[in-house]
Amino acid sequence: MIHTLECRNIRGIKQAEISGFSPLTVLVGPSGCGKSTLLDAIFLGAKATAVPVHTWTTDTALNIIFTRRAEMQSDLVRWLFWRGTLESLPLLVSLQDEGKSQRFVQVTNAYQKADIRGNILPVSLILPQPGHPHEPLAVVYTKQVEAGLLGLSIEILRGVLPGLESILMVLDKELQKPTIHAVFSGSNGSVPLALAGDGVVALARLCFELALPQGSVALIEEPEAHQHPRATRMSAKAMVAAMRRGVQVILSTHSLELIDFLLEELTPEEIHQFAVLRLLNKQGVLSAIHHPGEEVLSSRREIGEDLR
Amino acid sequence: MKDRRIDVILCEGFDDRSFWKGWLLRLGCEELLKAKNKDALPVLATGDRTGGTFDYATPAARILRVVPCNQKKPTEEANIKLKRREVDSLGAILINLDLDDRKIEDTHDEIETLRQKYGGTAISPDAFSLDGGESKVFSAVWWLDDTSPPAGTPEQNSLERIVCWAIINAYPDRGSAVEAWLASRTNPPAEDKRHKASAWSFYAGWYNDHGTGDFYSHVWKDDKVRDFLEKALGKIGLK
Repeated sequence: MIHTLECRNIRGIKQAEISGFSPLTVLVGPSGCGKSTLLDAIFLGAKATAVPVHTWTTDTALNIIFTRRAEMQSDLVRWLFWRGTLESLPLLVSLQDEGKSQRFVQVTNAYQKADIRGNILPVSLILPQPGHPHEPLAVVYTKQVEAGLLGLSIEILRGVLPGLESILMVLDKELQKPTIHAVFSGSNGSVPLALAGDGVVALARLCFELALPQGSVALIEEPEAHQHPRATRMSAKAMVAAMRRGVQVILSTHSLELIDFLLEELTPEEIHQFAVLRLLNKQGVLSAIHHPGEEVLSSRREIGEDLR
Repeated sequence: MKDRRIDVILCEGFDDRSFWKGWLLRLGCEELLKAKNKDALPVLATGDRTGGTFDYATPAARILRVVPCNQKKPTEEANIKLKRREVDSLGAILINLDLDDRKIEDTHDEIETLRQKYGGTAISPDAFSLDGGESKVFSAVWWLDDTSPPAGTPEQNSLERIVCWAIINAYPDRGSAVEAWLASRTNPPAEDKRHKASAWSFYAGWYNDHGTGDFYSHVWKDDKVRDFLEKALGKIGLK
């Protein structure tokens, strides 16, 4: 489990040392404070390979970092570095597990080979919001089949979609393309998931992508986007279920409702596995106020403190 | 540059919040939603209506937030507020306590513990400053030290005692009527809540047209009662 992140010179973060990541960690803070960049830093730190940064764009796993940001598409990797300067100080990401260094990535120039120590970590970056470049659901479905995780994906979805019997990939006769259908108990036939609203599709995608092996880390950006509060509650249910299976979940949010739903899902015995980190970015220096689960519970339930 | 800091009063319950409302409106504050000078006020970064919080615009164009924290919680909440003072742009915190089963020295100890934790500079036994004076913490305890309260005044030092005393001072007949009514009860509840029984009796007898929640704010609208209250609050350092 990632406990501490140290990073330098990545996007809007000149320097950060954040500790206190828990099995279920929520990042909050105003727009522009560095929540998404922190998720990017963890993802890069976990997945980067020992090749020049500009070739990372060809890596499917890392490509998402570049392609989800329009400014990066126009100038490739430039905007990965502090203030967009390729010749600036080294980009560094260090991920630690309970004090023991696990993974270290240092890049002095986008065109030089990266200095990397430690093995690639099993980290997934999940961007459920509509509008982000996504793999088609059929591709996600296929990956889950190949990884032997389809049953788990459907089990998670059943936990949040009442009456769901199964999820199937079928061939669309007209388009001659595979499409994902949901089968509900008591109904004849199936319903294409694509016909559901954006929020439901985002929820389904989240559930599928959260079906990760034990020991994995799921990084999730604003899962509440486009969701009705009921769907947000279901997302909270899916994220807590993932935590219970031994997947570390680190998410960013602006939603107080989501924090409250997570608290509702957690049992008193699990509350110590939860934390909220309120980020503060002062001219590039990122710090965090750590609220342990018990404090979050007391703040939200008894006083109504807005922790964002 | 506009001062964005927000001042906070952390009180124990809804009655305290109501009492503060009466006094703050009397002092010229406006309820934030009804404030006329919104453009001059700092923009609140976080939710302002959660947990029973009341926000006010002060005559000096600052925001004052009154937070009911449940019994004994104001000091715990102050700890969280201090931890977040930079991100929440916190100015001053007033921790407002009832004595209940504490002694006044205990409240000083609580303030001292906070001061040491955050490296504050002591101003007095019940106040300290932080960050070169950017943030300040004060405490105020509902307490009146007087050996000769008028007949009918509940003994337990509390907000209720101050309010009952103020009403009895202004209207001695009401005090004796409440005392007689309370004495006439068969199988009365435990005496440790006598201060609440007295306050509720005054509410039921003379202020019931606005509901229990507003009793403690409406006493401020009575000139005779208000004079006493202002003097009483002056004695505990609130002016």
